[in-house]
Amino acid sequence: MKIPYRQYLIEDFLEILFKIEIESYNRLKLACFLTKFRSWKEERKTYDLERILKNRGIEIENNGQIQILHGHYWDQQLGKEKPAIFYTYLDSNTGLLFCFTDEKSEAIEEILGKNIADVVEGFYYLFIRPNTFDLLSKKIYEENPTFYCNYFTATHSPEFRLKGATRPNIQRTIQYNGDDAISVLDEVKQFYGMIPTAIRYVLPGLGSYQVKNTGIFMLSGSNSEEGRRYLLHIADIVLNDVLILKKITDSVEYHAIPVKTDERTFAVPKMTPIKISFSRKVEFDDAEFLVQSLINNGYAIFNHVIQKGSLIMSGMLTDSSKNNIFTFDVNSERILIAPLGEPTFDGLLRLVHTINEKFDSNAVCEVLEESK
Amino acid sequence: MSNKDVYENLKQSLKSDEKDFLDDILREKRLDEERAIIEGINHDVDHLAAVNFCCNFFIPTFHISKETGYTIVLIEPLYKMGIKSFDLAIFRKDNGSLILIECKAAISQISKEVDEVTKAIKEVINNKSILEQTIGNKITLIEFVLCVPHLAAQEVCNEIYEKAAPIITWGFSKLEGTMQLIFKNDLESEMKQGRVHLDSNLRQLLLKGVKSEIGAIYTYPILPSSNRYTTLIYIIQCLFIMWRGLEQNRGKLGYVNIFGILSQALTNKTAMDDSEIHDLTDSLINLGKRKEVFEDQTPQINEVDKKIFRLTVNIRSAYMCEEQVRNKYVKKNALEKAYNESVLRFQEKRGLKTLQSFLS
Repeated sequence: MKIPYRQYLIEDFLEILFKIEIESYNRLKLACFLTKFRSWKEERKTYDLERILKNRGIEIENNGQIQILHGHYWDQQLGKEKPAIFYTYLDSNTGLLFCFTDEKSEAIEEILGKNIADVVEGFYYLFIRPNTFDLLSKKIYEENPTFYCNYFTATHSPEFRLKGATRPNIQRTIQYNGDDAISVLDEVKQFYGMIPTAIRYVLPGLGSYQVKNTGIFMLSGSNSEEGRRYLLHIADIVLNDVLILKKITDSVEYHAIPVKTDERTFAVPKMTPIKISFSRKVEFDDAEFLVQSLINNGYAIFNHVIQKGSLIMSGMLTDSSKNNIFTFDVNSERILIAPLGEPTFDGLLRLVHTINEKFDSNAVCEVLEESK
Repeated sequence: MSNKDVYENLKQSLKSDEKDFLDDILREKRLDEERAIIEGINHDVDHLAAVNFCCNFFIPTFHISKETGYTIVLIEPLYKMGIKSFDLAIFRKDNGSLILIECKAAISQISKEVDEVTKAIKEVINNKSILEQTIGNKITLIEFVLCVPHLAAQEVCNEIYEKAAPIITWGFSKLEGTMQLIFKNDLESEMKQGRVHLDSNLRQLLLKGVKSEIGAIYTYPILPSSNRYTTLIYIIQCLFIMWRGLEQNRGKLGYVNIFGILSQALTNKTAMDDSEIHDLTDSLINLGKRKEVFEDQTPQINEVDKKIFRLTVNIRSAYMCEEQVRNKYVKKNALEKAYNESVLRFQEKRGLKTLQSFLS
């Protein structure tokens, strides 16, 4: 897809995007990322979004509100490195980075995912939790009762608490093609304890929309303006839900309260943790699964204590990808998590997603209210 | 001469069947020592969690603190007096009243524990001026608390009563998330004996029982007296934050980094001053070197504060890093102790008299 270079406002850019010709073998995609940045350049800071991307070999071309990113990725099919172009817009209110392209998904996953969202502080996937998929399916059904799904991928980890009835200790992934995909997904959830990682919704007359849990939305089977507009609409449904969660993680605080005596001032650390309430009572034996699911996803648990009998566990955990340390306290009903040091929204979101995807998909994240 | 050298000297002097016997003793002792070290680390972490559970009730802006005016000021307030008892100091500035709290994650010898706290109380009373300097305020009243698991609290309270010690008993339950004041006999007389709080707000709240807001979240991730392993692993894990955005520095650390991490955790939160934190930094660097967790990258530099070290464990995965440090720490410590123990044990079994006989 080739969009003429000029100084765009986002509205003008979208009007062109909705109408521009895309090669029949390419698919229009929208990938969304959450960032802590409100502008591309922040002169006063040692690093900003522009510098982060440039440091990772991405060239940036300024086109008004649209920044065109030029990067390279390894094309698995061709077995060689290929260039890729993304048209991006940073929303200064929310810090959301919208990335429009017709490149392969693997280009987005490598250039902006693996090299940036996985490792850079303040940049993260618009991760779609299992419950958000349910919400999206419900919304699409309300608006388009004739919709169906013809594809999904799903996973199950042995540590996952919603185990299903069949051989719960087996690690499994499923890729399913068939027009009854939505029913089959329900069945594998129930019988095999699986959770979706991608779903393709077919909306007759509009197009097919594949939604990945990493926040990549892809349109196929349509070149109509209406079909493209609906791609943004689907992203919007998901965005609203994810932004609620981000707001919760933004409420987390860590600061020192000065406590004064006549001659001294002490610093008492004050943390506002997030609370993740489990969907069912977690027993002592489950603690091992929780620990294991965290370890399997790049966390280290240390200096922790597990009280025998009913589940009581507290300690610290380090996230090696996002370089954060948290302290936590778990009982049978909830886990409290607070960062030891300056909180980062992406570190907290990664932790919430890990718990949702690997341990309890129905666990609910809330702000911990202080008692009056 | 190191324990290992003594062991090797002895081994060389033995016949082959006796060498095997000595090796068997070493293996057995090493496993015993490993178990003991792991148990020691676990006890230390249990204590850390109990201290945090207790102190979290008194964080300013939280319910009890707002209702009573009592706020946590220091952890291990008697550090400067060299007194190990009392993990927390809770202070109410408007009337200068201080509560010193000793937390026990588990209690096995009740009588001994009560005696130790009683002894510490006497020292505190004799050295009140040092405590006033540490707190930076005149102290008009000091109360002493022994905070123990709820199930043991009544028994502890009885023992305190029998010994007529001026100690208040709090029982905590991490499971229920509660803390409660326990007393025996008449409330009024127990207040006079220093076994019930004089402050009516605090007394009433604690008699009813208070509910924890943030459980045992580690507000204080390390204590000055924490086991060296607990502190070492905390420092190493903190390096992951330090390396954020500084990929080229990953795996490297210097004196200033360790001092910075300790300082952030302990300055103005404990009674330790800068020079004591420098001492702790030195001691941890030496420990890291001894356990071969830190490798000196600048042997040509003599000043420890200018040296650069490299972590010898996995620096990509925090989990592998923790596991490898733990292995090195436990195995090396256990082996060092086991060399000594095995020689003594061998000597005992074979009826030999002195270690010196193996050295000649």
